Amino acid sequence: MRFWCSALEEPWSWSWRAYPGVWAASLAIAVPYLAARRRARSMRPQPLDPADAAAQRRQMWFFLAGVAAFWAASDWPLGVLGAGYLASAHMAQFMLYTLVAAPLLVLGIPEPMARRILARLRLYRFMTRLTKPVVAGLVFNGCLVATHSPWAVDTLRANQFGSFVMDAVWLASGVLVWLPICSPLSEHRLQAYPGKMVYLFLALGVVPAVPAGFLTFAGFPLYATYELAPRFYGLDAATDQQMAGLIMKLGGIPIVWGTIIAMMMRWADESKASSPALPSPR
Amino acid sequence: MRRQIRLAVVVTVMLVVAACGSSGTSESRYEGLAVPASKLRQVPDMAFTDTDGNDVHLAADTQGQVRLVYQMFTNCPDICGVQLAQLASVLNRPGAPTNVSVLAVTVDPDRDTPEVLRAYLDQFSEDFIGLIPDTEQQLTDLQNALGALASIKIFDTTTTGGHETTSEGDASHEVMDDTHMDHGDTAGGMAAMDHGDVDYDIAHDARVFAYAPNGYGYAQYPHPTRQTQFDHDLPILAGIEPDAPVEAGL
Repeated sequence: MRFWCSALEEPWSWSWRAYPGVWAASLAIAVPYLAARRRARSMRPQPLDPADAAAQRRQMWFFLAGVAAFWAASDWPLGVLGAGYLASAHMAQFMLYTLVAAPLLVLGIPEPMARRILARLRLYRFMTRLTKPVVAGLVFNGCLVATHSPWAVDTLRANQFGSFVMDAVWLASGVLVWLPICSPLSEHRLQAYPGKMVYLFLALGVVPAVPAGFLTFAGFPLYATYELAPRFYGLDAATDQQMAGLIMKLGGIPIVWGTIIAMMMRWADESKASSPALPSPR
Repeated sequence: MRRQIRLAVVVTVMLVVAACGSSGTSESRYEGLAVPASKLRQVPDMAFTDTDGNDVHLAADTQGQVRLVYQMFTNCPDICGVQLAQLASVLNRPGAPTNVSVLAVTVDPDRDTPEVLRAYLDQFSEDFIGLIPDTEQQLTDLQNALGALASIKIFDTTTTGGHETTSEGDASHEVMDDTHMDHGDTAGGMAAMDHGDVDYDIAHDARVFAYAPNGYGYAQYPHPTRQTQFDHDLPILAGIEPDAPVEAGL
């Protein structure tokens, strides 16, 4: 029985494997969240109005979808393929953690819960500094570059603990990079839409293109883990690595640009609503 | 400020010295395993049947070529496919030496018919030459000539009770136990076959034995060897003239 997905020196098989560490981690995220929501609801003096109740339900579904994305990225089969067989699966995991699971988890946290957690852990001031856009962007991209270096991949993916650390770093840095956009605490968010859009473009659109380029255009497989792994349906290591580079470069486009477009539309709506009505021309 | 400059100078000098030291201590020109001069062997002067039914003499029919002799079998689930894919990738690169022959000798002639072997090798490269020993003795002779470990069949111990050595290579019995049935063995990595619809596994020496055009085997490539190592060494081997003395490749 293995705790977390790591490289296996054996041929790929579609036989299911249990990774209880992944289930435990998923539950460790979901259960306290649900318990906190339940406690908050029981302490509420009067029921919420329907609009607020619907918003809270939506938040809960965001959070649970984030947990589901985390589980899908970590568990068999994607977790095993990414840990030891395919660089492209490894990259798909990274995208799922940072561009799907992380923003959904952030969107799912209600403001009172976030304030309570930060106060209890005495992390408010630390998080205030960490969520400054420059800091968050640098930390995320520093983690991105470090965890995609050949040394890090070949060392960490070789054992369960290292593989767990890599996945945890991806999720944590993913959460951090989304906080200036959609933190539950308004003071940790960028306020102006242009600032948000520029930040998103730089932090999640520009820098990742550099390692993606290395992967796509490298002359040789960069990672020993994937070059020397038993082949997956005959896919050679160079093609697999090029696919990984393309996933990194193109995989984020729908999410990053979709978010930017959504923000532009919201910005336009808000500008229209706040501007005084013009007199109709005669 | 002056102290910082002094520190920077000291660190720079140390880095330069370390860099010079590391390049100066390099003993081999090969990134694969260099064979010591005292243990050099020549390419085996043997003939095998290829996948078209023709006789191929390892030495005579590949003159002027780098010969990469590799023992493999088509039911191998792991190392064989990885190494053949690596060789195909390296040899397909622009600028790769053209005078290189990959001679893939099956250690499982019972199941690797010419058609099966050809179809398997074609997944990697149509230029790879598939060779089938006519007898077990011929396979044994090849392994002795290469200095390779003997291949062994491993039957499911729960049904048949253990190993059967198919050939008697140099170092067969003292190293061929279960503890060596793993990747990364220093003798080349033992490729172990999984059970599928067949009733035995084969452990074999997974080194690529590289012979320069002058016939001498200067380097070997056990699993795991990176593509960059093959890419570094093959032009060196390919550049050795067919009539060059043995020292040319050392």
